[in-house]
Amino acid sequence: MKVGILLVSHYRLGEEMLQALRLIVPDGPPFYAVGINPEMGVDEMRAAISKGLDDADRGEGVLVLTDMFGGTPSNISLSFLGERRLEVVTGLNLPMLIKLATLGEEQPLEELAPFIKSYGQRNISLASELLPDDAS
Amino acid sequence: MSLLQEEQEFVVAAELGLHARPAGEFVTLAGRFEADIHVARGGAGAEWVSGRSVLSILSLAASRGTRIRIRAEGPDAARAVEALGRLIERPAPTG
Repeated sequence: MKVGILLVSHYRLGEEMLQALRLIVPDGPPFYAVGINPEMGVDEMRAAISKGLDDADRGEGVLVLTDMFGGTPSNISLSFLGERRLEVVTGLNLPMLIKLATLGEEQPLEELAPFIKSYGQRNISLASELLPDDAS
Repeated sequence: MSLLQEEQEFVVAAELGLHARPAGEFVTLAGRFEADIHVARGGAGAEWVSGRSVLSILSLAASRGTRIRIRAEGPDAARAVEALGRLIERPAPTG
């Protein structure tokens, strides 16, 4: 996968989600995580995300996944739009990460971002609507 | 290269069923074969899902004792179904 993946979250949420991902898909491509906490100043947050973007970027841009639209991790990530080639998708979940880690074919960043947004939305389920009648 | 098809049914043996980790293993293993792989719950009218998607496999909600059909189409179909079936019938994930 040529598009870089960077998770930007409150505290260690992103890193912990990567740990869960690695349990399910042990040999996926490298993804990166940056944790933002309230003790950090704005410059420090920007520096941490900037370093994360550098780590994740392999020349085809970076897909940034944040935990929530409107949160500081998201807002600071958005401040890099226009400066670098990146797309920000908010409201990350584990199904999105599993899909990104197992994608067979390459997609450019600009197509990958809307695809993974709708994939994440589709994989929020009410279990009782999903389970077959004979599943227990 | 001839297009071969193989389809067999297996019973989930692991206590925790076909949960996220074995589903991940299944997809990784399925990716090693050329054959196109689909999976369904046993029985008539079951919906086939892609054997290359962890979330699709999880949507089968296969607990211990659930019958799972594996269908492979491609030159290595027989080997694929055999290997993937072994994973379904394994009592517990390794490692």
